[in-house]
Amino acid sequence: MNAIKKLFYINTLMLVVAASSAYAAPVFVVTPSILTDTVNLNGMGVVKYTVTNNTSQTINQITVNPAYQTTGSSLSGTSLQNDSCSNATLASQASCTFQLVFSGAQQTAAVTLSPKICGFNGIFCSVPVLTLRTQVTVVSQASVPNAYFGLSNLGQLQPILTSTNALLPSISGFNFSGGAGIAVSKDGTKVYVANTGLHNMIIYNVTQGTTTTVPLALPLHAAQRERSHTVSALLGGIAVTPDGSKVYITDGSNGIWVYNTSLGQIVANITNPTYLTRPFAIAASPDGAFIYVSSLNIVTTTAGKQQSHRVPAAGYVVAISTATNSITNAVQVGSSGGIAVSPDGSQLYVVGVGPVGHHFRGASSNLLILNTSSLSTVATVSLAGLGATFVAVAPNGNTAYVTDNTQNISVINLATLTHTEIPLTLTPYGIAVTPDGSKAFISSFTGTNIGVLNIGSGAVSYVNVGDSQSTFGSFIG
Amino acid sequence: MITRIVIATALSALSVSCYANKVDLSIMGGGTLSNSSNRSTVQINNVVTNYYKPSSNNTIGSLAGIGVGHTFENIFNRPFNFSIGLSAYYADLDKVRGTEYPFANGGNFDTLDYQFNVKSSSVMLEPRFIYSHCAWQPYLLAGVGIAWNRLDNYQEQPSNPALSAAPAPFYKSNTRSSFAYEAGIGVQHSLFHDQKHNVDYLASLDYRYMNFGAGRLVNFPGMTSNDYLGVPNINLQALMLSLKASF
Repeated sequence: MNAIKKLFYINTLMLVVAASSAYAAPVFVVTPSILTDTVNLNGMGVVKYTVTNNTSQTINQITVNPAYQTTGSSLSGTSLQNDSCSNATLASQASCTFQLVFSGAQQTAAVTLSPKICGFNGIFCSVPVLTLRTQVTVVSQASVPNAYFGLSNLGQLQPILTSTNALLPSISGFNFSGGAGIAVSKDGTKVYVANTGLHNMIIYNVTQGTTTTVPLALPLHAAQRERSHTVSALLGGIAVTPDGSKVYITDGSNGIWVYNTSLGQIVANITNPTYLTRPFAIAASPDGAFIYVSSLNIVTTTAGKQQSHRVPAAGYVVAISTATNSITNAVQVGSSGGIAVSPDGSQLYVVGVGPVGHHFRGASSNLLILNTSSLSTVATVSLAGLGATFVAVAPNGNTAYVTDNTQNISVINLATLTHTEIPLTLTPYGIAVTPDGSKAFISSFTGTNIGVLNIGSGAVSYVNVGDSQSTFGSFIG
Repeated sequence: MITRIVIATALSALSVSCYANKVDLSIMGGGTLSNSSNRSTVQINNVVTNYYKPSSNNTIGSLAGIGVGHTFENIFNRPFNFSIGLSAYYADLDKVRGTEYPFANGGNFDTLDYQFNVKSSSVMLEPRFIYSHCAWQPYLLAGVGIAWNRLDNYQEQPSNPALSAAPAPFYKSNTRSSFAYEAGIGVQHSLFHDQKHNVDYLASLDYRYMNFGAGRLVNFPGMTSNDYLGVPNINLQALMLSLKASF
């Protein structure tokens, strides 16, 4: 009887095989979210895959090899995230998903993604069919930048691919209890993070995936005030010069640290009891000759909770020569927040949030436009929202974007000085525009979403990063 | 050691006979034609059965060997010689190739092409009957022995690289012993006689059929059944040239 059954079974298989010469199908149907992608040598890419069990049987012990390729060079720096496939059991026609994360480093100019999915602990495997193998172009310049967000409670740095808004693997080891000023070098290879909760700066090497901690000694007066819970050690404004040679960090008291990237050490602490009472945001001029510093009348104590400072800031905007690390000019504008320089370096945009000593949150807002050569006021644009925080300028210099505390982005035409407001479903904080001017990324310390403004259409989408973020600065690169 | 004892015993038993006799040393080599195919269905686990469809093409290989024997001349006072010898052979049967249909019991899925090498080493006890009345001496041969069959270097690749099939972990190489036998027909001719050393040198050409029994690959990790991929009948046809020194 068994022999008859076996014979029948074999005959059935032979019929199947004979039929399969005319038709064949994947065991696993592997479908990517995108068919083409571009990543720079220092960046990362993410492709989401859906895997469907195309058999009539339930398949278990599924494994995923993200770096498998049938042709071409092996793909380095690959990993999986949001992976519901590995070790999964899939019923017939059921699906699972995973995200393939890959690094642009060490890749050839063109890479084909072909992850291999196996069932039953590897006894049969499938890859995407040729027409569904994502072609990745690796470019040698930072044309596909990442945005970086400091996750306040998780203490992680969260990179996001600006081209697709995909989350890249986060980096642990941070403490953003005093805010998260972030600056990315122009070539996108280094991310400088004001690690405010631990009073140091962390340098994230994007290419190598490593971090370096630079201790920042607390000024004595700041330490005393921190113990009295009236001021944090760092407000965390941070900027890197365009040539990548120096990094400037506000110490939250009355000083600015200067870090020499070649020497790998702090080389100066710029102080001035008159002009640098509450240094906050920093921006570097396009030629790297100056940095500009605002002073905000708030402090950040714990977990991003803000309160007014007992000793008001003097409210100066200061110009500092990067050649001498000395103050070359200063103008008193009142409490100010974000600061940005026009692409041609001629104008400075400063978010004004009221007079000296004014509480910033409920304050009426304006955008001060200063002449960088003299720091004289060119124009003042009154904004609709209250408690404006940060400003970013489009790469073409035509538009400025200002976040405020009333869930708006003000879009300001810098030629006509008119503005419109784009409502948000989050309270925005920092804002930065991609180098190609197509998107603006917006942080928020009141929710787990970030906002992504499509500059062309004015539409805003949201990406859940899992934690609040008090990120500001030039955090795209 | 056992082999030596067997040879010595056989030769000594024959040498005490009344016939004129000679000891032979041979080297052999030739080409082979084989059509060994593998088992087609392999149950991988209690859910999955793969189908391995072998290609029907004959493969050309090679065979080499050495032998030692003893020849009894003019047995029964007839123009017949009888020799008994022990020969060792190494046969490289080239590759077994075919198409793998993964999960054949679950649907019609994209296939892979597979291949693996089949090699056999054997030792044969070979009697020969030689008609010695003419210069070209025809003979019949037969043999039985043991073969060590090695299946190795299993590889698979997508039949169509544009489709979805991807190689799974491979079967592993394995050597398995099996009963072997052969039969053949040939002709031998004396090349010259070294009178100084009293050695005859002969050449022979024969056709033979050799069957080395079965071989199998070792299952790969993840395969939970006791089923296996193997070749149940390793056989070949050989055209063999031999050089023999008889003294």
